[in-house]
Amino acid sequence: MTGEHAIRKPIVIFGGGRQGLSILKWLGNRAKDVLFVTQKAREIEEIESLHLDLVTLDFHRDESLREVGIGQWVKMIFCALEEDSENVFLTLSARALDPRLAILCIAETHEASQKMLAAGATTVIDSHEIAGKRINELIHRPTVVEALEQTVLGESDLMLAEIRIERDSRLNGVHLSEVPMADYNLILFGVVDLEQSDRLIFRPLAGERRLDPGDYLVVIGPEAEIERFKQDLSLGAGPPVA
Amino acid sequence: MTLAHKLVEFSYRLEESVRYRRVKAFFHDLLENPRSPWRAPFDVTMMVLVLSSVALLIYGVKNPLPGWAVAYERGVVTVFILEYLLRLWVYNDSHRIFIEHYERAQFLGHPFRLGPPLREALRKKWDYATQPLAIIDLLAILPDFRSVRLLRIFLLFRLFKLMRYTRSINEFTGVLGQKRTELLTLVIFLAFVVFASATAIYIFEVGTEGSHIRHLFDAVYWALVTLTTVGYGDIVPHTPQGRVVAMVLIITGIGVISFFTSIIVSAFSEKLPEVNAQRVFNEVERRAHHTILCGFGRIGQVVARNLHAARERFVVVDTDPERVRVAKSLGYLALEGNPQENALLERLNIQGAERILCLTGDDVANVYMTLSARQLNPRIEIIARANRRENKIKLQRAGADHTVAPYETAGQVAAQFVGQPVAFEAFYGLLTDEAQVGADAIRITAESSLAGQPLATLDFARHKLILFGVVREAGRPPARGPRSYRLRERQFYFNPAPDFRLETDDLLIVFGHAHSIAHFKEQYALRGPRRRATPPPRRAA
Repeated sequence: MTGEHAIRKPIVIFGGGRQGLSILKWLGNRAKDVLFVTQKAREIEEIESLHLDLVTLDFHRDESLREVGIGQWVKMIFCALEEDSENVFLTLSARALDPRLAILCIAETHEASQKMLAAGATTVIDSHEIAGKRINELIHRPTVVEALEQTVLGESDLMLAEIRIERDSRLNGVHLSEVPMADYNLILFGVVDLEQSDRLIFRPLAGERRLDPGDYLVVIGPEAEIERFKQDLSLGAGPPVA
Repeated sequence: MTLAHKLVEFSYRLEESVRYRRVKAFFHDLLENPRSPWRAPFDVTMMVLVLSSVALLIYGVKNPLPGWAVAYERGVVTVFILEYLLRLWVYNDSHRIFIEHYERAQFLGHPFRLGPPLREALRKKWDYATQPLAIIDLLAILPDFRSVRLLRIFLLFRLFKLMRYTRSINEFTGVLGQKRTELLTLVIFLAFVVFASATAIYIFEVGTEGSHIRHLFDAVYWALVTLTTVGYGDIVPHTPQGRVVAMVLIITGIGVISFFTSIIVSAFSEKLPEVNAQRVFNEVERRAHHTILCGFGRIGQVVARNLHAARERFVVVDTDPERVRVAKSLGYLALEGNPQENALLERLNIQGAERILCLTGDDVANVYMTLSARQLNPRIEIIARANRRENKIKLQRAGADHTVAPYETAGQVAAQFVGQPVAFEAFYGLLTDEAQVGADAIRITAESSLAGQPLATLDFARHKLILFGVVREAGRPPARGPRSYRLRERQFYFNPAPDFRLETDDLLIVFGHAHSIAHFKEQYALRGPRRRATPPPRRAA
């Protein structure tokens, strides 16, 4: 253990194996907000060679989790340890420390993903399931996969973003059809009305509804254009997590 | 011109005749090629002919046959004779023998003599005629000569003829053939026991009072009936010595029967995996355009489940018998074997396959399979799994059309969680088709008359669809205005304006319900992305 736990980062990735590093790779400019936690000598070596922020401590102990800031400044953790059982244990410990923490788990099997959800994970990604589905999509819709991989999921400036409607937003109380989308190079994908459910309502099926504070608009577009949209309408950004 | 020269000239004419070769190839295909589309109807027809004629002949043993039945029998026999002659004909090319001999004689400056080529040609045909199945064919024709009563028993040969047309009987005889040594041992042992006990009972019983045994044949008959535990009881020993022989024989008989049973059972259980594999090979041979799925691990299982749900034809190959068992229990066509072997890939009809998925957990194996598959079939679509990111490029060099790295994919999706925790669920659903809303590609076909039209012609909102962008094929004029992204050699235009002019073969990438998309396609007479007809340009491996 070194004195590094003074480093305050809002995002912690547990596990510095292939999985953890691949998450980091796709985080883009948010990578600077990431702290790695691992105990494995091989992983420590690799992370240090990449000059990333790292803490080596035993995540089985609650004290260690508090040290990296869970329950305090950490907003989101990724459980990307090699063993499913370790991820379940970590989820359970972290959830006990902070009920509002966003926890994303990577599971290797379907049973494990059920256990992770039961342990309190916000979202579970079944890595084998998603890779298998990706292969099926490649078989049936190769162009769609390519278009999404190269744009929204890839390293291009095109991204998916959610915009929260605040009380002082100019969109507060506005009908969905009155949102001036034509002025921007953006696609309005859907809305989330948390009062109704946490599911996203696809725009063509959303009908005519009024936007209330706490609703989210989900848009797709170039990063700069999304910023301009937020600025122009002085909309609040997403939740402080991100 | 001598007869020899006439024959040579005739041989050359046959060699040059396209029609002759075509006719011969057709009959060869029909009679000898198990993959021929004509094979199944031909086999069934022949079986029907055999069975119906046998039925008539059995009826004819005691009853006079009506006139039509005799005519039918004649017809069937004519077919059999024709088949016999055709098989004899297609067995080899006799005219080539004449040509070869003639050319050799010409080359060496020797006079051409008819004797040697004629002998060789006849010997070839004789080779065919002496094959067991050919003999059966010939004997099956004989029962027609009813005047010779003994020949009636040759009726049985007509039943043997069924062997030609059924694979299962062939497999059965093949299995027995493999145990030739054991069966021979058993027969020798059996002959010894029968002869020894027959001699003993003959010595003890013949001539005694009330004895049924009068000749050695009676003794042999009794010994065999007792040994096989049949025991009719028409001949029984009377003397105490004779009964002792019977007791010994009965005990031996049980041993012989169990030995015989175990030989047959072990032969079949040894052969069973092979028989099953053969079934898989037959299946993939019969229906081409299938998918070969190599590696039935966790990812392979997810892919297989979805392929099965989409009613795609696929065959699973894995080296692990336990995984193969799981695949079979799920009702998939599965085979245990190493897909790195070219021979196995060839037997899985890789030439006729539409795609191969290399999904094992070992990148070395995946690269090797990709290379083999690309060499065996340059047109096949290859999707390979890269367990380490750095191996993606190697797989692409080896010839993979698409690569998927599981850790990468999961990481890519997980990273989306940062920034949009609320929308993430919807987005994850979009990628895993768990949500009802999905993404699809719609091609602008030449016949839809939409080419050249502005996007405004299409009413996406009414069909409850969102247009994400348009993919334009390489070689089409680039569009100005919308933000564009490169997709390998193609161009992707994000959110094009209503005045964007469509081109033939453009792909609309839309979000929406599957049935909205279907309805949209129907409305504008469009269909999904065309199945690839021409091979994609390949990088040198």
